[in-house]
Amino acid sequence: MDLFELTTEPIDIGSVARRVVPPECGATVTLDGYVRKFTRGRETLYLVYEAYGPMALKEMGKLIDQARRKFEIANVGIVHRVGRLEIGETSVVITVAAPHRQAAFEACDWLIRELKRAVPIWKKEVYADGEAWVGGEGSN
Amino acid sequence: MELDIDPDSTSRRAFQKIVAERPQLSAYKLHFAVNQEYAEGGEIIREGDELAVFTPVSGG
Repeated sequence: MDLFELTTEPIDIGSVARRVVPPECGATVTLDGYVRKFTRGRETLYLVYEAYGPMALKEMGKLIDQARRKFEIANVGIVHRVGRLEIGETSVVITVAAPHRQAAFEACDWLIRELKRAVPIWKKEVYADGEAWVGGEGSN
Repeated sequence: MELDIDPDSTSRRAFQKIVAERPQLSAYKLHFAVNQEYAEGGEIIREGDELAVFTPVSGG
């Protein structure tokens, strides 16, 4: 079974993977994206993520359907956190289960790139001396 | 907020009106959605539809 969710709570990475694994699969690939301390040489104190929730969930569902058409994969789990996140906390988890690992690696890479391009979620970087909403794919 | 537009207006027309009435938006690259789907421009907007205007996304 696929899952895609937004949450304001810390994400348990292992549980996301366990929830999507079907018995016929031989591998899951899981991406753990977390808050980095330095971006473009500037020190970040924390991040704030906001989502256009209903559309973000629809887009995640569409990406999973597209990924399944493009790659030999079974189930996908995507969980994105919103709200304030401290350095080192997980912001996004993408887990792909597949009969063979190569397809899972490729699909996971494709999914995070598409998520960053199309899913309506935004992040604000807060620094010691200011803050900035980050504008779009490729800028980070 | 509510938007008054002519019957059978396309989403392109509706978003042009929204942006024209809010010059501060012209400073941004914008994305448009109708009923939580990216807009193509040709959708016919009906009463009760949900329109959204937002800047490039930066999740992940």
